[in-house]
Amino acid sequence: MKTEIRPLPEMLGRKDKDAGAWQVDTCAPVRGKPMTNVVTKHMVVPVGDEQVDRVIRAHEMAHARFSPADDFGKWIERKIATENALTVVEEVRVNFLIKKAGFDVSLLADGSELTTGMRVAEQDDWASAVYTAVGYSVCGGGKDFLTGVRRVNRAWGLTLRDIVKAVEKEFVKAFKTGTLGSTEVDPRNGLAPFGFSHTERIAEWVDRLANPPQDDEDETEDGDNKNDETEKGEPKKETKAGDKGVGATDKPAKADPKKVKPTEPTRKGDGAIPTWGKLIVGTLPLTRKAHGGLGRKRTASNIGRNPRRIGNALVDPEKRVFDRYKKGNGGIVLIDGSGSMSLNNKDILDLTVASPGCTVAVYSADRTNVNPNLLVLAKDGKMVDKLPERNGGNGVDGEAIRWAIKQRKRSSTPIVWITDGKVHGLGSGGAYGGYHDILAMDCIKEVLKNKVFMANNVQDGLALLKQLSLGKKPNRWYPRCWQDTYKQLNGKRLG
Amino acid sequence: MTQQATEGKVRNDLPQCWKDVENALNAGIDRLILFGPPGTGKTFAGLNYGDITAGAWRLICTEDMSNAQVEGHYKMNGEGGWSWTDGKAVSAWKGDGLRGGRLVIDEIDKAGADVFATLLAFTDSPESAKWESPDNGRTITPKDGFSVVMTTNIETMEELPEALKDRFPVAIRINQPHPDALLALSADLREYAVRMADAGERRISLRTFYAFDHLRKTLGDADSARMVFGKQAESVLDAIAINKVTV
Repeated sequence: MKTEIRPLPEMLGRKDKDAGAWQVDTCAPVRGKPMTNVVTKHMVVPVGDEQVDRVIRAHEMAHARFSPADDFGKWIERKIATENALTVVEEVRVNFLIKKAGFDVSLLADGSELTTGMRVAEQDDWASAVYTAVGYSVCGGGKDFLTGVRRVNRAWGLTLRDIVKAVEKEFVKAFKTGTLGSTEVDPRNGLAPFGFSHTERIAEWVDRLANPPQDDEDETEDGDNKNDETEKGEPKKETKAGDKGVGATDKPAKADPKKVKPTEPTRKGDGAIPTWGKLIVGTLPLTRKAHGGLGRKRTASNIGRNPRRIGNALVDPEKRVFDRYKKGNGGIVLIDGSGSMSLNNKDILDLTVASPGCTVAVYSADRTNVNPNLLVLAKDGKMVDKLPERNGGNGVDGEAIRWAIKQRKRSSTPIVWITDGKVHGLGSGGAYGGYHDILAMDCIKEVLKNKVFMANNVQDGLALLKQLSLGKKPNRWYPRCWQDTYKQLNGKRLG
Repeated sequence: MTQQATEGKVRNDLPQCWKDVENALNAGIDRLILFGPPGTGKTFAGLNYGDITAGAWRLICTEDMSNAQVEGHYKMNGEGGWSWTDGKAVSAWKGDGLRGGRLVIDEIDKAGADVFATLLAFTDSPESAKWESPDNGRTITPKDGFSVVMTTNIETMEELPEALKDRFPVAIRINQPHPDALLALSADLREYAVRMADAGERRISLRTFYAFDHLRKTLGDADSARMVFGKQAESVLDAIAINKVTV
């Protein structure tokens, strides 16, 4: 009779979850079958006495010991990394930790990796190739997967190998901080386990490797109501019979880990990404009328009362001698009210007045973050008469721009962000705040995706609003610090 | 511990279940049920905590036991005659002659019907509790200070008979070993002993950890685990390895 060996997840200690009895069910030692749910305390594992069964049990035990429990949804909601990236990088973290505990992770393979690698390369699916290669790193199937990819596309195979090596290097670095397996609550964001913040940081990088920014990502199509998703279009799938047989291709890899780099932990020992503060929207009495509408256009028409374009009677075959007003899109104007912008109340009111018909808001937070940190100054044709005192720091830049994006009624509604780009997490100095590349990238992604217009100061902001009011397409500008961050992390120029 | 109980102070480092026990005993509760997984120190608590200055007597219930162990029995003396020996319950009633003692009844749910009925009589309220000695015909009652702590491994109080529950209004589930009992274990094993004490079907008792701790000093981890934990040995060692990887 075969001995059944059931793991003992009850023995594991976590600081974010109480101990207690688990339900342990059995399954075959096949990829995709074993699972662990830390929230419901349910584990499904093979119970055989083979070595591979033991390593799979160790893998699931490590999930029970280190992986997020109740907070996993909140980690995803932070949107620093995608769920897909978080999941695959967490697999790597878990395998890395059991390897450190002395388990032979090379046994974690099921023989399907080679064909998976070939299939992914043949389908020209770079994102899947990156995520899968990373997920298979620090386990037995990783090499076979890379071999499969290399058989179809040598360039991809070599680049993926570099990516896998770089990811492993990042985990070695993270392990040295002593927090890679921590299950404490991160005091900065209240999320647990702390060790998962390493996963998040590396997953953010993997996302950039898997989905490198498109060269035309920041080009504007004003007045175009098409959804952003459809504008990008699907990448062309091109499979050809190359030198190495049917399906082989020599297409270059879409990202280079030597250029696209991970961010550094804020400070040695912390190993985590600073976070935005919670956005607290404050309402003010909007007592003053703000006439007009940003982007309202006057166009020629053959119907009307006052013939203001009398010349058209001679030159226009359609005799459009009248004016017709085309309703503007309005707009969203977001003002960075932090100390580095040095804005006084008059500056802010000037910007508000120059944004007729727009939703205008100013944001700034302080370390305590208990007071409203985003004040709506104008909305629905009304604006404030005077401004209250503001906080002095940043703290919520990313959340504020997301709020601004949510306010627009149409995708063509312009968003203007007046900021110097020195976006900070909540707090000041060291690990509890300051400019961080991840936070800046978070803002950059939103700005590029939603085609936000940026201005450095009041003067530039007023000029930009003027251009929008005239229906002209403003020039793109990005803060210097963002350009540096983007170049450093993605190896290419922003804008 | 007894001293603490006497002074009415409860240690802050105690798990909640043990705080409850000490609070109940310090407050003068004289009928207490301690239930929960075995090997957590319930009997030890009954025999040692609270006011036990008049002595403590332990009664382990089984299906085959008789009332002799509860009430007492005659046994032959060296002179060819018979003399009466008090049972545990009667001894506890009498205590030190001035005050009643503590009766600790282990596994009352395993007692047969006769013994169970007798125990109900002995654990009744002081006003109703009476017993006539067959030796001299005198009626005795429990002295002041008599208390009863009953322990059982049942998991829910609903499993106990109504009459018994009625006599023991305070019931505390003990789900962790007492911190003092853990001190006898090596520091690196204490957290596991605490977690596994209440781990359902895969629970490992404190006594098992004591044995492992003792053996590993001479045999090493692998052999000791094999001997003590049996088929759970590999799982125990793997869990320890994973748990301490980042420590």
